[in-house]
Amino acid sequence: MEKTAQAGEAFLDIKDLVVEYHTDDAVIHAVNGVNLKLAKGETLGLVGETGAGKTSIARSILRILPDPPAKIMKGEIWFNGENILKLPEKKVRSIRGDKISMIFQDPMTALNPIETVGSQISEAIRLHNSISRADANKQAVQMLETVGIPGKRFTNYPLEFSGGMKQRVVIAMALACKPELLLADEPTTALDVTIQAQVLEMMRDLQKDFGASVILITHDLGIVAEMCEKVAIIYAGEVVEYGTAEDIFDHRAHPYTEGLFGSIPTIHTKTKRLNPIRGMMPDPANLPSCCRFAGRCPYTTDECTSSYPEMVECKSQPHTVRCVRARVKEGGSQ
Amino acid sequence: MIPTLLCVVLLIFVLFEITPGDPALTILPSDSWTEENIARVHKELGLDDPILVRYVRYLGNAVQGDLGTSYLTKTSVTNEIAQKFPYTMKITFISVIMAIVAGIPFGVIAAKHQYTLTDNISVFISLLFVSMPNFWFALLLARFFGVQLGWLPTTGVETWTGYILPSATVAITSLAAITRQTRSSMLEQIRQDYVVTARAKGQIEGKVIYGHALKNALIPIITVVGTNIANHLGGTLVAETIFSIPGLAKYMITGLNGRDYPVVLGSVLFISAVFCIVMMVVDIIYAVVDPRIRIQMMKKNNSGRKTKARKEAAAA
Ligand SMILES: Nc1ncnc2c1ncn2[C@@H]1O[C@H](COP(=O)(O)OP(=O)(O)OP(=O)(O)O)[C@@H](O)[C@H]1O
Ligand SMILES: [Mg+2]
Repeated sequence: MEKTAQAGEAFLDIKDLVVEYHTDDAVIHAVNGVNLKLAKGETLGLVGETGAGKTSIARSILRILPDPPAKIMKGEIWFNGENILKLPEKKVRSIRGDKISMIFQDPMTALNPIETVGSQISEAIRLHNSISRADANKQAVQMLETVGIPGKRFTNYPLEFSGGMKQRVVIAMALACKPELLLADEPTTALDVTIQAQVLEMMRDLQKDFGASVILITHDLGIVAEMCEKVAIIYAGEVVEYGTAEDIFDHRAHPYTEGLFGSIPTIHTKTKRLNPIRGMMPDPANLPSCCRFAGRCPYTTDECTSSYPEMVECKSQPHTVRCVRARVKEGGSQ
Repeated sequence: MIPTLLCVVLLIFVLFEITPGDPALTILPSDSWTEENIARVHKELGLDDPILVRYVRYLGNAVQGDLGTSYLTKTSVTNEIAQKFPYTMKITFISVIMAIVAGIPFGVIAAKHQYTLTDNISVFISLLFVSMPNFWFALLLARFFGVQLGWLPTTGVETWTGYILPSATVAITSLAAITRQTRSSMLEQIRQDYVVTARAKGQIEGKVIYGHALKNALIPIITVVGTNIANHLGGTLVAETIFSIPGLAKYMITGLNGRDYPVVLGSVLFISAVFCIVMMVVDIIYAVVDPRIRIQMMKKNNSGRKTKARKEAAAA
């Protein structure tokens, strides 16, 4: 019997997630109290500059952070009514690749170089279905064809594939068991622009066909505009703004989000990349106790450098912002 | 392979030429060391001919499978080698297997627990083995398992149990090298993304480590094993001596002590040939383990065929 999300309870609910990397010379605060919710069939974009903690959040959901040095210090990740962080390893293993799967950032290194692509896909299938090797291979061939690779390339090795084809294989592998939740970590960053568009289109089609929820990590606001219903802006391991794509594109409230957009682009501008914001993200080993963006923010006041801003709810639900200016703007609608 | 062997034989000829000592003196009893006796022996053995003539004559015979006759025992070197080599081969083979079976898991465990006590202990143990002289380790083994416990025989190889202690003695030659190589290439592999991919599929940890990472780490480990086979062959010398095994290494040493040139030459030539074959097998294993090498080899063959076809087409 499958457990499904009950009414009122989110399909995925991340509560107060804290991830640290304990290295020899420092403790890196990669994720600091992140809360995120995701409904069934929804696509959530995680946007933020490099080192913001996006990959760390996604890997926490599957519990595949490199340990050592990574440690999940705190938090709950509710998925289908179960707290993944409290499940025994064996149970998590049965979820990985089956109910939740992940597309990794770099297709060039995500595949095992000495196994055929087909066997890598059918490995995932056989792990979660008690079927014969031959049947699993048949399904793997089908998956390859679904992502637009001829089935006869089943016995090829990754080195015989181009980058775009490797990414398709990675996607085929992630979708092989028809996951309910897909974590796509910059699925197109390593690809050139034409192939990017193809891969995105394919992901969208597949999402429609399989009805999966997606967390899409990206630097690229154009991709967010195209793919996502909800957006979370991540800065220094925190969600600084969360809302529907419309909210973020047209009524953004956080200065960092503004910075990301530069000045004008709207939801209709598709290929706008991150504009550089002056200054640098604070050192995650040594975070300030006030607002983390205060050092770079054009509107910084005394309050920003002396107290830590809480999440503020904006008028249009479910739009939230971590900024004192928003509280003033929204008239203290907490 | 052939040029290598030609060089090996030439080298030994030259070495014999420049080292002092005369086989005639070991063949003749010391009371008959007269000028004419010595000259007669030299003539009989063909030692008066110039070195190149002897070299070519030796090779001509060797090609036909005749490695000459021992000066001292007057027996055929080819036959003796055929009789003694199986012992040496078995000890070498078993010892290599032992070193692999112990060294690889040691290395994997050390890598998995990098910088922890487990890691330090396995590095320490492998260091301990590498710094232990073979002969001393052999004596320890013989004393403990042979004499004190009485589990294993300490001389001869009448039963298969006789091979255990000699092989274990030789195994420590490369155990440390294999452990260290396994550790370092596993450390490199377990950080790779494809390992995380395998975990993200829901694969169990053992398969992730041994099925994915270790397979990728194998190439440099195979290299270490391959190059250490020569050392293992050398190591059998100690084992054969201490455990009184009538193997090839012991035969060669007897030949060396008696200036029995055909025995030494034949043994060295034979062992070199075996080593060349082992290296060829190692190359084949590379291709079996790593599709990247296999595909490269296939491409080379294909392009070779293509250029040949093109040339033929051009000629026609
Ligand atoms: N294995 C690790 N050891 C130590 N620190 C790490 C490790 N992995 C990530 N970090 C640190 O954790 C922080 C968050 O990293 P993360 O990879 O989650 O960022 P990201 O948002 O995915 O960045 P990118 O866009 O570059 O992929 C960074 O400061 C990074 O340096
Ligand atoms: Mg990342």
